[in-house]
Amino acid sequence: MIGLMIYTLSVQAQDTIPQKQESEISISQDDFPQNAITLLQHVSEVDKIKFFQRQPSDGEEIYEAKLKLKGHEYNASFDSVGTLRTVEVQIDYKEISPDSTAAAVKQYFEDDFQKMRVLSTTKKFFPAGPGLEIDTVIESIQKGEVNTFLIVKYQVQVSGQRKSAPATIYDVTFDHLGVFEKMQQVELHNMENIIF
Amino acid sequence: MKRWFLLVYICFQIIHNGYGQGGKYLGGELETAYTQELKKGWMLNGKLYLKMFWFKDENEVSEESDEVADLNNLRLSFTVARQHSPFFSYGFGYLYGGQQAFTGDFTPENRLFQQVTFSQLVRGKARLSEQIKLEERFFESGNRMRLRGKFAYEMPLQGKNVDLGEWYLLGVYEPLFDLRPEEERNALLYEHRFQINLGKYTLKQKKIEYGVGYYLSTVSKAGDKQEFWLVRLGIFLN
Repeated sequence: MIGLMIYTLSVQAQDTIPQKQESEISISQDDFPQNAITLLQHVSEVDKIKFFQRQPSDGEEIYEAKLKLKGHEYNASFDSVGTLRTVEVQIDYKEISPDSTAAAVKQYFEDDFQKMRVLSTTKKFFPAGPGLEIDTVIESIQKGEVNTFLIVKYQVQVSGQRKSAPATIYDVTFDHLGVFEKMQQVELHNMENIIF
Repeated sequence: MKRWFLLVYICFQIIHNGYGQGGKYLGGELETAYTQELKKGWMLNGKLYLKMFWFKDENEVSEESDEVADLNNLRLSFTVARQHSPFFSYGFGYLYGGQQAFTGDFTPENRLFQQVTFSQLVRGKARLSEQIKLEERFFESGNRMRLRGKFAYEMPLQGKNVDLGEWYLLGVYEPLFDLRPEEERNALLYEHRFQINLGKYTLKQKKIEYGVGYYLSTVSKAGDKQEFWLVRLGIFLN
């Protein structure tokens, strides 16, 4: 009986995928943390930069700079005092590396989804310690170096169907080895104004 | 985004300038709808649609002429649709309405329709949608079949996504095809409809849209056209 209860609870826990709830607005450079602006000024050859503020429902405000340099786009996130939190770059799903990591990610989707389609893949770089500057991180990313001062994760956004649930969009995060870390359900704003 | 709106603008200019012009009308359009979510991705939608014209220019086709497109419209529709995935839905529905020309005749209509809607995210930000709708229209004077396409491009104006409380821009193009035999219809592709709307996704899970519409309709076999300019208000409730 107790075993059945534990099994039921574990199944319920597995089926409850948290909803990704955050809003993002475009802001001016003046509203961006000054320390972050100073760090961003060290990045050379920036073609374009835009500033955003994100407000996750379960966390503190995040300030995000979207940079375009040498044909690649980078998202750099900072906290409210301007400390670098992550640098993200969009990659192709096939670019997940090494092969063992790609295989682990692929296996996860095969096991957990009835059918799915990859919408986007993001490679995330987290500073392993304090004081890391964004130009160092971007330089490292551009050179494709493996560094101990960066923690790599992958976030794959998929449109898919799990078990009997209706198809929806999920953000699934894996560590550098391809081990599943977390999943969030992404809610798109309704499109009834277009359907009906 | 700029490229898409530029493309629509060029298409608009080609279509607008490519035809000889007949009458020109100004009016307004009010659209309100309520959608109730059902189980397993199904949705039930009720919609009330009102279109009225209150101004004609000096070049209009005579009011006594048959060559006047239907002008004032009042329509009530019910649609059942299933969101099969975030990017594909299908549905069907029934519409009752009526239209009134300047001659004053009121023409009631019963309509059945079936639709499929596809959409995709563009650069993870904007949404491009295509809808194909087949309509069976029943009038006292005879039945008609119509095919309409709808291409919509919706883009957030504040950040990457359209979040609650934020504004978006919606551009829509609808080509309308008359599927009756050639001898009965004025033209196969007989109407082009353009809209540009400024919308807000409000805090109560509804969308409010303010916009401008332009319809160009073929009203004779000779290819005479009439232009309709509309101001729009759309309120979509959940």
